[in-house]
Amino acid sequence: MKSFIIKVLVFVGLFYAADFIAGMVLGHFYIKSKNINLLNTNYGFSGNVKDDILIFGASELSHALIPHRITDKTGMSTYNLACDACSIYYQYPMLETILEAHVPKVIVLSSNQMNEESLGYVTKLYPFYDTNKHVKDLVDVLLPKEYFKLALNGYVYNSKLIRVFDRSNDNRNGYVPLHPEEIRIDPSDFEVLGVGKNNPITADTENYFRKFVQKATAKGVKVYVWVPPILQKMNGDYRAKMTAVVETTGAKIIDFSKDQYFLSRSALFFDQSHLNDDGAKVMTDRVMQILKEDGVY
Amino acid sequence: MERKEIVHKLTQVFHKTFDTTDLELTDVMTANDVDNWDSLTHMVLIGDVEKEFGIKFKLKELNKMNTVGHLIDMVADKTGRLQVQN
Amino acid sequence: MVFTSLNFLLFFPAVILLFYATPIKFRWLTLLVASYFFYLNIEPVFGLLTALITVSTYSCTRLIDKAEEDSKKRVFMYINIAIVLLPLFFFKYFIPINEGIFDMLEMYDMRWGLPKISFLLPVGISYYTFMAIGYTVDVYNEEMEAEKNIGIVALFIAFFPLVLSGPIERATNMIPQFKSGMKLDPANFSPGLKLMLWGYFMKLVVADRTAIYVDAVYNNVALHSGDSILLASTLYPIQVYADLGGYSLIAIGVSRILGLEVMHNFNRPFFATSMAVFWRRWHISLIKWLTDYLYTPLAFSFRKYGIWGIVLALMITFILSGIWHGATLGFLVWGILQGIFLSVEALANKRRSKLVKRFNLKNNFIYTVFSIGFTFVLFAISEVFIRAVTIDDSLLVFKKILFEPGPIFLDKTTWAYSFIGITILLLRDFREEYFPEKKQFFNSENIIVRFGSYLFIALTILWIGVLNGGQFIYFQF
Repeated sequence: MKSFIIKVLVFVGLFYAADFIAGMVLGHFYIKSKNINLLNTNYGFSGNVKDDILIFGASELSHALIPHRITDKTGMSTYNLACDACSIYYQYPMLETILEAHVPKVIVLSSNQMNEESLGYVTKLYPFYDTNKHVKDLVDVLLPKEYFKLALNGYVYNSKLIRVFDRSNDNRNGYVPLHPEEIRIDPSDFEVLGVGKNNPITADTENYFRKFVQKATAKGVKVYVWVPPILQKMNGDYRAKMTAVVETTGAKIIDFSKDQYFLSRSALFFDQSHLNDDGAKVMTDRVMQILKEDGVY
Repeated sequence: MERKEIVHKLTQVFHKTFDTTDLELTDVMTANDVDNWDSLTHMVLIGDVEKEFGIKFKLKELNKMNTVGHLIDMVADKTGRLQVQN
Repeated sequence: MVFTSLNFLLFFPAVILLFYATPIKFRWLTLLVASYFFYLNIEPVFGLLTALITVSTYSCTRLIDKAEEDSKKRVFMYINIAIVLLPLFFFKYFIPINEGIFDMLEMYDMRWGLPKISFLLPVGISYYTFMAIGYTVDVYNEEMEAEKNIGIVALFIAFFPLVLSGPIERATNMIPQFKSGMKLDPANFSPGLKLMLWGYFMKLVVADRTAIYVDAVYNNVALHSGDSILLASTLYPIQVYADLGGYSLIAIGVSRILGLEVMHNFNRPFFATSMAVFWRRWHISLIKWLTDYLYTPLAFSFRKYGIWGIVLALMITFILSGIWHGATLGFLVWGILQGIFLSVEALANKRRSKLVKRFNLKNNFIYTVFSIGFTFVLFAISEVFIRAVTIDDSLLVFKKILFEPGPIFLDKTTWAYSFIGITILLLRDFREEYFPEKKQFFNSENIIVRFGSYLFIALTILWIGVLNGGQFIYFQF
């Protein structure tokens, strides 16, 4: 019995040490990673965000607005912080982190953030748990058990190993083009609108969405809630709730969900919910048009 | 029936069922020792044995039949009983 | 509670401490309480079901023992089998049958005024139902005496390592172990922990990662190219093996630590050279159960028809096995396919062995590789019907694989992790199959190699295992 306990203790000690060292090494590379998926996150939490226009959302938006196109025309520096499958639980601590050092002029937030219930992707925040107060606050509230698991570096960086060293990317200020020639959608899909996702909206999602918009508008940021063009029927419940939340905050909804210009042109889409590079150019120009009308530039 | 005679007859049944000519039965032999003797051919074997000796097994008895020795004993037991009845 | 939850990692050491603190005489009681805690943790109502099955099984087995005539014994056996099967039928087959009736009525434009009922399938019901039936038949067959302590019967049915997904153990093995003085022997700790470690590796690193790819493709068959579907269909059997095999290993390891020997459930299935061999290596506890309690009685009663009687028994057994897995047409087709594969093999067996003899193929490398590959392909084909759920989708899968190739959809990181896991798993199985004594890692004589391999696997689980989410796919079975 005694020798077994000693062996277990030795194993636990070695395990923890190996995990700790591996975590230190990986953490070093993580922050510097040029990976397409990590770049935006690292930038957003770096504390060095000083851009005039910031874009928050998931993939439907990361492929839809082109920052350098906006900068070229308006002279305002722009960064598209949207990242694949990221939910409002990701956006909120990032916003708080940015607002500590800088107040942007304009924020574009995807309305899908109200519909996306992906608590699972909070894992993207874990590398910042120890150093970022806002991240820690959110994780401790939403997933209290993670506190114990995050003591292990392997858990913090779980499944991120390959990504850190995967540099293949054509990310430019956060925008990732989807090339029109790689079209993945069958044109016949455009004839019938599919039934949209009908995720139940949890109180937490609604709460953080509201807090996000309130926090930004309170600081004097002009907030646009962007409703994507999508080749599916809209989830009515989500729409009503989202509108109700936005209306109380002074933010503005810009709605492309029924925009026939997009909905009738399959050549602008990559698949049912993502615009391709051609679509993104049109979308960027349309959004700039709205900014101009509102006197942003 | 003599045990020797049973073994002789059984050997023929085994040869027919498992399609070989060089199989010698021993008391300790089990299914693992014979090629192709698995749960599928086992029941075919049982059927053939029953036909050859004109006897009937019970399912419960099969569960206890672990070696060829057991099988020989059981056949001896059953054919013995048949002889007495005759 | 599931083995892969943080709760279990706290629960299990607590059980061991409690177990250790209880006098040996009452350790079964500690395990019983722990088992009910474990099972009720998933859904409290389910406890009623295990309790009902326990009471019924206990009473009937005792009555079988007391009855003098065989006919009476048999009646009590059938009564218990009926009672025990009732909840299984109700929970598992009520909804599909009900919906079938609704659909049929709607075809004739009739609307039924009743609301459709839906409820949760009690986790593990298929497993403990089979264990209870096996015990009843064993008592009837005088393989063992009926247990006089109802608590031991309750423990046998609800024993927490096995309750969710087996292995489907036998009363003849478990009950004597529960009744013997359960000592906590440190000599069991290390082998038990090794089994658990490898089980977690299979489940979290291989199965759950591979599932992400397979699900992505199969959830949208229409959108994916034939090549992607082919890849996913090839990976799916490996996923299922790693999933149920890994989960079983954890169960076996947990039992081992408590000093209980539980049968193995998988034995390197992908090195089988025929379907018959495959089914002696895949989900062994289920197939043994089916052989003993279904196939053998059937084959016995059909024995006068020779090989065709065997074929009939095989078909019935595998069709019922398919339906046991799930009440869908896909599972039915799956069962029929297994029956056909095994029957054709049984019918062709004599010819095959002649061929092997004549060309001396027994140790021929190419023949072995071909046999292994062919067996895998047959099994993978049958698994399509399970994964694709509907028959229409299954047919679409084959159509696309055959006629619509195209670029393979690959998510780089998912694929890379999955590849690492599968490679380690298959290499380990390969070594165990052909060189069981060589290049040992977990059981190496060299303490550095041994500790190094534990560390490597443990760190692999932590760093690239799927630790968030990830549902155990055999749960609903």
